Amino acid sequence: MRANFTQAAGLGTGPMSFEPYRTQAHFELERERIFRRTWLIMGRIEDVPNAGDYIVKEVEICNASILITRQASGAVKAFHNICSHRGNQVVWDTKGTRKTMFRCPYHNWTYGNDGKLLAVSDEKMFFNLDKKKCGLDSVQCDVWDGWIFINLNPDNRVSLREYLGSMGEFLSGIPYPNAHRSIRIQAYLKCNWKFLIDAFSESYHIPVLHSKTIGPTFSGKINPMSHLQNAEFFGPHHSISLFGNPDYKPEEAALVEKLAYAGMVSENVLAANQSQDTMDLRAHRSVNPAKSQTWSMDINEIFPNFHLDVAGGGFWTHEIWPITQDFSRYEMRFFVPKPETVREAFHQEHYIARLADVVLEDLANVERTHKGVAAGVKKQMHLQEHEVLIRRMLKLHEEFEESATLEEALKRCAWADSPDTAEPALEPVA
Amino acid sequence: MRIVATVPSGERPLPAGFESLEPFVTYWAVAGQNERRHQRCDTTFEEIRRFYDAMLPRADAAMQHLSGFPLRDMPGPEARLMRLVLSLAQASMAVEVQGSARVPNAPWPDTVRILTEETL
Ligand code: FES
Ligand SMILES: [Fe+2]
Repeated sequence: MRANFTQAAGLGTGPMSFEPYRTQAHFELERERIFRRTWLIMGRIEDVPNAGDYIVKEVEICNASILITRQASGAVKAFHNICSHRGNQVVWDTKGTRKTMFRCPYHNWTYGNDGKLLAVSDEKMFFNLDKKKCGLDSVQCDVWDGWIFINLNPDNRVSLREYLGSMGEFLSGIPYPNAHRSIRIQAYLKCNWKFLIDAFSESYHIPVLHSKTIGPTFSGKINPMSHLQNAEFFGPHHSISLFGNPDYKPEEAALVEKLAYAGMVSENVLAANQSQDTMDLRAHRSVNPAKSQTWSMDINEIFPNFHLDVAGGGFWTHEIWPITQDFSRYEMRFFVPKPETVREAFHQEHYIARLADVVLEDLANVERTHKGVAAGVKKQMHLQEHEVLIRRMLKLHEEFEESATLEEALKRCAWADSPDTAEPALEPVA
Repeated sequence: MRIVATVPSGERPLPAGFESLEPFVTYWAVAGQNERRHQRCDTTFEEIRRFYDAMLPRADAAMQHLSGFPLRDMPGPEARLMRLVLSLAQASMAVEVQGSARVPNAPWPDTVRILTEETL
């Protein structure tokens, strides 16, 4: 029998419970067993290009504020942004350059960007203070293919490479155009964070919810329901490929769109770059892995909350951060070239304006979904073949939440590694 | 939040030849992508349409004129003209895509912010 994605992923086909989306108990488990254990995305190496550069990132669910610094040696280090004196935050802004010392604005304790406590004001008034023991607390930090990750478990023994496993090998070596320059779309949403993960994990909704914005580019005559072109599963991580409509043309009346794209030879409307500037990207073995002629983009999900999306015209990321059970932070980051002419700036403004509208269609929707599910009326949801990543995510969460350690969780997810490429079921498989 | 573009006294609002667009400067020639998105979302479809209809036929000529100036260091009138052009991209979402001022059924004001590394 022909395997569909859902079967290839080793998953059942029954309805799935809504409980993980609406109970505080699940949220606590996610905090302890997922966010305090897994490797978490912080940014790109280009965010801290030079010695002395730093960024500060929040992991709200763990009450963590993380300071990432670039050392003189070139190494990237991470610390808890917490002063050893009385616990204030040492760094109050979110990024900076060429700063090798941080002075806590409360009482002026001063730290090197290697975490060492360098100076204490009015030190002689303290009692047997051992400055060597009062540095910033370091956090495990590693870089994979230019992506900076941290791990909040001080006793963690799973390296970033082991954690990414076959997904890391699959994606390794992708040349990321314009990794040094990005535009972010940020929003705070009244919803459980997993609704955001789901919103960006399936294409079933695209022709419907996005019928005016990107529906016509992701669906068309030969694939009206925007069925997935491919799916690959790597332990807790996964990758899907979306259809792109080869017949898409801007509508006659879309005069500004035409004007914005007049100087562009690009892959599709989601292109931030000229076609010639993404040739290496498109040639990579794992970009459009099925090498489909009707491909638009890949969604690569790194567990638990990072999407690294690659399209013919460039790449972007989604980060989804839980704050409380029913409140989340969403950050999308588009990596775009620096415009040098008014026409390029105009194209970029149009590109981001369209994406902001698309994203807002999703974002307004997740709040509605949360409300519906939180009502507690419905017990479960019904998922179809092309929503396979949602089913898979819930199963992966179960594995993590039932495991005592990250090692165990990864072992338990072995079922989830499927080396065989699945063929999508055109008809639902009984 | 009320955002406006101001014209320093003694400066002309826009370069010569673009006088017909002057009524749109205060509202639409604001600096920053997030601010321009805010302007588009914070007004009516009719107002957006009025700006779109006036700006669209002048957009190509405006970009032509502006191509003679450095993108990040334009004289005041040119900078305001450039921002009008960029606002046209925002306005087009309402006119060409949504058929309404904003994404239908999305809340306004919202928590969406566009964060850029430079302000054009
Ligand atoms: S809390 Fe930082 S110096 Fe006092
Ligand atoms: Fe969507």
